[in-house]
Amino acid sequence: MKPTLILVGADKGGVGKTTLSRALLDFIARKDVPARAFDTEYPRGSLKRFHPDITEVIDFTDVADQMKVLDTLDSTDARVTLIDLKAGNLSLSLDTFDRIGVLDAARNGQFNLGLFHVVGSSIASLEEISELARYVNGMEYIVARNAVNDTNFFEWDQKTYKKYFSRLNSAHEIDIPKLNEMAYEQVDLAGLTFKDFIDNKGANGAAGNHSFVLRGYVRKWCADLDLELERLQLIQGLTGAKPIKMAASA
Amino acid sequence: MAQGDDATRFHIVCSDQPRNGKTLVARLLCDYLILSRRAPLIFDPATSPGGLRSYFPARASRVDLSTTAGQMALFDRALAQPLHDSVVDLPAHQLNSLADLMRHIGFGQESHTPGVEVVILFVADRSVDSLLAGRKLRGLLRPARFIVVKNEAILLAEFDRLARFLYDGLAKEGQLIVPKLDGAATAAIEDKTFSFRRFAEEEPRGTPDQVTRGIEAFLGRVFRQFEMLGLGVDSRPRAAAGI
Repeated sequence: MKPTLILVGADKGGVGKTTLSRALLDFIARKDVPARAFDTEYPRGSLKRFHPDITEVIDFTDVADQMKVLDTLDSTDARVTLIDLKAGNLSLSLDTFDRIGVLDAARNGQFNLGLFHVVGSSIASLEEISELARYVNGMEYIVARNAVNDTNFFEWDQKTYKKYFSRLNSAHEIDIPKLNEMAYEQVDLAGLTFKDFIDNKGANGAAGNHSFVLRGYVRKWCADLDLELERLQLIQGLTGAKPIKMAASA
Repeated sequence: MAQGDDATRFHIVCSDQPRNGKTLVARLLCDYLILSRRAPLIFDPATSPGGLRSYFPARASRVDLSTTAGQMALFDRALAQPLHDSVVDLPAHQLNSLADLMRHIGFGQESHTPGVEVVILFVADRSVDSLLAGRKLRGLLRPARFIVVKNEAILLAEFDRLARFLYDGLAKEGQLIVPKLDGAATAAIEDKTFSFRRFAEEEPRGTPDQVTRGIEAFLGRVFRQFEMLGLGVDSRPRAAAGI
């Protein structure tokens, strides 16, 4: 089975990119699909503390670290490799991938490639989508509108939005539902995966003492998010789910 | 749903309509449980005065269910003290939001809260719409017990055919009939210093005999129904655990 490379990026910080990476890794783990992750917020990382066993912090501008990721796509036991791209570096990262032939390799069928582009509500986000158009053909491109940070997307003019989307092939959109703020904070403070928090675990798998109410909010959020993700062909390919009638792309 | 002596009961006294005796039913239940040595946790989500807090100032906790902290103060506390049953006197305007919340977080679902029985005491109001609201609530939450409450001071007339059909459907799992009291007795029990528990345990003082007899008959009838509904059964080793 072909390996899958998932990129998660945004052209600015604070839109919930790492939250989505965490949610994706959580989803993949719940489907019992082996995965690994690379956190490019070098040197400290932002994803690693939630998934320490499967995440490595790398400097993606360093060729040796690029090789660490891309040269092992076929040989790793993980079926999914997720790269949490540094905020603000999405276009640069895709340009790097393009120059080193990763995008062509995906287009040639060596592996499955998907990009989750986490966007904000301003018109600048639509410009970001337009700028990426030259890179994303041949990959599954998903615009993720993230309500976790309570972004109001009504600023988007739907007609303009549809015009930007129409230029892209294989483009899809998902809405990341809003998670209760206190629940989000507690999961963050605990440094746990969403699943471990729901299962009332503490660090190192010990029993936790988390609020039932907050765990309930996270459980529901994960269930709602699952429904969004399961609409995507990229995800269906990973989980072996039967195709669901896709919502029409914009 | 799990039922039985080992379960912790989470009682919600509610209705889709205001001012139909919910707080009276909640008070009766609280005092009955206290007398049955089930030491209930008492929660009052009302934003206006006159709820359970005014009758149980030392025992009742005010919880603001519009906030996450308030929701935690209710559900997390109830789960953290499994030796105690809980009673919530829910204002009518909070009915839908609480039902949605409970479904959202999975409270009362066996898979998420094993050992917790949700018992709903739904005070039926005058209209068919109220009975339909009760039926909808029961379908939504699927509680361990659903008890429809008929307050004879409110529901004076006989039901029409449709209402009777709906009521009978709701009453299959259990019903509680709250008898009507005369004006003097009603005034006596509405006094904020009046306690059904103290009335049951002590000799009433300063109350006219006729009023006393009226309250005795009222209380006897209600408490017998609680007993028949199995709400005060206590064979668990929790009687020693006080609040």
